[in-house]
Amino acid sequence: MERILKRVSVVLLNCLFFFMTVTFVLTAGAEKQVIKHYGIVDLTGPYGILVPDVWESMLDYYRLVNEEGGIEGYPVKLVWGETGNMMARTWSHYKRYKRANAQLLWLASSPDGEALKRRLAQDKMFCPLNYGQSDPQIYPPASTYIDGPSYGDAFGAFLIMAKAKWDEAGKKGTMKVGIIGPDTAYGRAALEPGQRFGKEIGVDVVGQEYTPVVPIDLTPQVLRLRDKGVDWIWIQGLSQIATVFMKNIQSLGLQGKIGIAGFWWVSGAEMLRRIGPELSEGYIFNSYNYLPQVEKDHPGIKRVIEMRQKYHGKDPDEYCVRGVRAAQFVIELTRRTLKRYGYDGLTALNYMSTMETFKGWKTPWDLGAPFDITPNDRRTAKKLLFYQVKGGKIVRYSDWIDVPHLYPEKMSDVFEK
Amino acid sequence: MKGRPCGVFDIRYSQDMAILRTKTHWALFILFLVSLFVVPTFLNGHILSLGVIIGTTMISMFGVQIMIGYTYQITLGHAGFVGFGAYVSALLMHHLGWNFFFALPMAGLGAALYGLIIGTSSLRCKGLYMVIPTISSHFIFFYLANEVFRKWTYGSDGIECGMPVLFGFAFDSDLRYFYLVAVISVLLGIVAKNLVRTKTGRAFVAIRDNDIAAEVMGIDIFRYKLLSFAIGNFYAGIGGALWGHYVGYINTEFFPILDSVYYAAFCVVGGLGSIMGAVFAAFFWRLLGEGINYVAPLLDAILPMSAGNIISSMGLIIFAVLTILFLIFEPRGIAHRWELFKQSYRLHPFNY
Repeated sequence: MERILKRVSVVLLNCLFFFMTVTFVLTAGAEKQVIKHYGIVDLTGPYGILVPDVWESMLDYYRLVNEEGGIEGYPVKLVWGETGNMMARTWSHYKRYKRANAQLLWLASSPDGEALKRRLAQDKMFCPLNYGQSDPQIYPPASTYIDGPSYGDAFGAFLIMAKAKWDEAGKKGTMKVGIIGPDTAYGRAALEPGQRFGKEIGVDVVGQEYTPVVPIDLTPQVLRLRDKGVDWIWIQGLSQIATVFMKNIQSLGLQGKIGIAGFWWVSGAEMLRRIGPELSEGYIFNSYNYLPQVEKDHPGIKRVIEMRQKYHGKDPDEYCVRGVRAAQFVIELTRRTLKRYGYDGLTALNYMSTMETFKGWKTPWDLGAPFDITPNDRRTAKKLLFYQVKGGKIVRYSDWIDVPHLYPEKMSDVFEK
Repeated sequence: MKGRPCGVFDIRYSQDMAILRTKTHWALFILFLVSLFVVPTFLNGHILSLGVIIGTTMISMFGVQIMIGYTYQITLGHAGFVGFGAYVSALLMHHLGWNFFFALPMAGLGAALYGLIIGTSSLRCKGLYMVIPTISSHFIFFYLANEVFRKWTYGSDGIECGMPVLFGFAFDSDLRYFYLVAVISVLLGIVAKNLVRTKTGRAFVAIRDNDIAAEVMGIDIFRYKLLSFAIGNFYAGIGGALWGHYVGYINTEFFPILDSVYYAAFCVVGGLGSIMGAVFAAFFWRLLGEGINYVAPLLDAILPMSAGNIISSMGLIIFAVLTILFLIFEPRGIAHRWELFKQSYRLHPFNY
């Protein structure tokens, strides 16, 4: 037995060595005049439940750009590393990229964005997009931008939408909204701005119930929110939480009695995949990009489907569209910076100054609403669509809704209102 | 005379007790120290950063070794204690304006005190059952940091950790910070090595091997178990504070429970009951982690368009397979291999 195990391990190690050597040989010597972007991503940690399809589609779009001649004739390469959400590994990638004189760094999780925020500014490195949209990493502004609105702002948009529906229905009294989410920076992101904005528009945000990141049962949290008399519950957590929560809502007989809504990382499609149509029924969520499950005939979505089919032989999900949208933005940013400053001018500061040239910009495939970027507003989406799970399918619940800018109160003296 | 290099005789008790016994030992040790301070000047920021990560992990791992390897107080909450130390130091610097070099020992003492409180459960639990209170300690730490002391810690938004400055000399570069961590790691390593050879260390080992027999021999097992918790977590606190101030910012997500599992698992890989085992464990864990950083992108380069699928998990799979293979072929850890190597060197040129 021991001999067999020894042989197997020797074979495995040889295979690994062989693959690494082949890769090195294949990738060496092709470094001349290539535009390099860098990325740090968690594909195997807690965010591995969401990010792989986003990342894969982003890489696909980079490939497509290269197949079509690159950016102004320059091939573009995304050098990336995986972390498993371990800070030591994030740090190691960061140091490696810094040594390689990286100027543009993609991030894909709130913890990485929060941890690296000060360091990025200090080292004059630039993050054009982080897929983790927690508010702490963008206020006060440093050199981090986010993909989409912040989580706080997304909750604000939900309050606007829900209040409008409440008024339309002629309901009396103050609408009450509760939040459920983990005790992390992103999990808490909706509470403070939501309570502040709620007061402004006449909605009572009653508070938040905290959950483990991977819960088993949320009955006490649901019951406490029910006892507070909430009309809506906003899920500010990932699908590990949302799925358990929806099961508890049904088992406690609250389905249909309390409105349930969440943000773009817990889409209805995700819910249907994980807990099926019965438990997902009525669930409302938002998105800053169109969904392939709903807008199949949209020309841009058709292009995403075509690309996904070309490279993977399967249809895209909502995360793929998000990845393509973000990649299109960064490629366009690079193109503009290249035109303004030339190849040698692709520096973090030049990238950042070029960000402000995006005014009313839509992605080439029109995958979301147009947006502006200003020095005080570093969000790459300002409008959200709301969708709902209805009869086992996803349907549009609203048109594009403007997202409020709910930066922390302490920032008001920094920003022009 | 067993285990001595050929021709080496001890004629005094102090010689018998010495860690560095021969001229060769001294020469190698001096060479090591010189290398530790000369070689880094030729290394780039990435490698130095890796060195800092290994160093801080090593300090924390000394604590695990003392608790699990020497006293058999199994802990699955070590990351929480590491975080506790990091927070103590960050809070003292952030709110009270303490100098890092005063905050650092307080980080260790704070974590030790927290360890003492959690360690009281060892009066009723032992062995594997200690997993329950130690895991609980992790969640208590999260609750303390995110809820109870939120006003000061800023909860999950995290807190900035100031830069160490000593008489106007700021440890603000990778090289300077590496030196700081290297000095503290070596000092704490020597302390740990000596600790386990003292009366206290022998009491730890007696408790580990058979606590009932130890008690019969007159060892106050509760006292020594608590002491083990305090010392082990002192190391955790120091390691955590050094890590936090290196990154410059911490929040509770920096100290996930999974890290506690890694601390315990890699302690076994390094070799239980050996301070060198803790050193090997830190190197193995962090270097393996560094290696698998490259696996997913490399495989994506070979097999394009598959980053989001199994390839993204290959790093983890390799991590697990290597660890399992290690446990199959060398269950006594890397430290055992190191001992075999030393034995063979001592016996040279004879093979018996």
